[in-house]
Amino acid sequence: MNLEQKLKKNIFVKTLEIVPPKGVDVSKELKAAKKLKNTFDAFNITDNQRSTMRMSSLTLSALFVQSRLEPIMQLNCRDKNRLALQSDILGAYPLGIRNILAITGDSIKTGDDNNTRQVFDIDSVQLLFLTSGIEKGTMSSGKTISSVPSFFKGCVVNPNSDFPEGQLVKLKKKIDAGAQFCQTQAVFDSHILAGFLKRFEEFGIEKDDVMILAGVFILPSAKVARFISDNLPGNKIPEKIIERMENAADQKREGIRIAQELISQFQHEVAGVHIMSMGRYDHLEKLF
Amino acid sequence: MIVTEKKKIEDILEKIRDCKKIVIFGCGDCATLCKTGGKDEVEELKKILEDNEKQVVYTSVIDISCDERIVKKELKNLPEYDCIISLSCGTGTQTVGDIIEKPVFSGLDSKYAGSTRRIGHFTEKCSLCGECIINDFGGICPITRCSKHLLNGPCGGSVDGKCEVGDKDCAWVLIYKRMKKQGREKELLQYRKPKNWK
Repeated sequence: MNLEQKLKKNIFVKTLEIVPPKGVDVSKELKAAKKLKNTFDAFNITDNQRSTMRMSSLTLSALFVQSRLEPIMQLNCRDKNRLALQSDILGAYPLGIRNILAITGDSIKTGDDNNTRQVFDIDSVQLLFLTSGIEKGTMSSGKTISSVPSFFKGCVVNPNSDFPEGQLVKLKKKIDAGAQFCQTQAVFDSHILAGFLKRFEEFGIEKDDVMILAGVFILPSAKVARFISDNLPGNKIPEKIIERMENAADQKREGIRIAQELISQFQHEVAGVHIMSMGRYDHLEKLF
Repeated sequence: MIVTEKKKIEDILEKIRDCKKIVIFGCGDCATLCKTGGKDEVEELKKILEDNEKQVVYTSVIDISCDERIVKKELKNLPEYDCIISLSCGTGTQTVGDIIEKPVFSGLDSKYAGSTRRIGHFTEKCSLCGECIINDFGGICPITRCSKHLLNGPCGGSVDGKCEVGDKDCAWVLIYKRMKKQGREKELLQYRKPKNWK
């Protein structure tokens, strides 16, 4: 069964974020994913996350398919215009990629080469809309596509936002544009997630409209927790969690423990979890 | 107004390295309001160039540097010179450069079209990007005022109403608030197709 089939059968799914290398050797990523094949249902391959240049999501996703690992190919709107994005969507299909995650992309200013010109020709809602159009045989120009793909399409949302109305308006539009699953930014407090889900109805979102994968971050150390909380836009880590990390004898183990607690709290609220571990893949087989 | 900033003087001196006789033009319109190309700034640049052993043979603040008719009149009867430095936006500098044959260098960087809050402090408002879409967003431009040009809703990065990059206001918080105040927030649920950038 693939990710889509499992979610449709109400099986609680687990996905893992895979960060492509800043080089051409993919052995670390493939080795880690093969080891975790029975722990995770799919691997979400990031697309120049945090505006940092890495190997393309398309290539690493294709290599995952070759290794019989199920990838979710991320596509951001910061680095490519509508032609390049649609071209990647067509290109992904014959390579065996079936899951796509449409994201806006972090601002170039958060990245490692911030003199770069950011594109943002289209946004993530429009990317989903264009993907759905391609599946029906039409490209953005209105011209016909000779043979069409079919994808399981995902989006993201940030339940931590202090402007939840904006997030919910956009999520509704993402669903209308074709999003079938939605992974959240890392959430460190189950009340925040529950409060956010409760507001869906207000914006015309039915519970079954989209399958939510709650974002769970594996904190490797108290220092990283503090850094993320202070520097990464859209992330909020409660002080009590940072303090718990600081006071732990084994911070790595404590990070896993916090994640396990969150997963068990989320289990009855959402369709699955999306694990983010900043490219560190050890100890994850013990997560569930 | 086109908001401009002064270029670094070292960069200007490097460009005019081989020129001895210099003409400086300011602009009486936006650059004067920005305090980057008015009478005082022209005088200031003149002094710096003279301190660097250049001969400034002529200075003037052109009323409107982007009006070819005015610029053509200004360019008549110039003394002998090697190059012109234009303290105006890119449009003004090109207007001068398209009329004469000698090199014209811009002394300013053109930033954006903005409004004045107080002298020297501006807010970016317009990117002059063609099809104007502000009517659908409570009169606030998401192309210019959202750092990601998002048309269908905010990213997830704003905090306390501020954009995740820089200290400007999150355009989407402003748009939502204004639309809600006007009882029009439901309009934001309509899909906005990709922009026509022509």
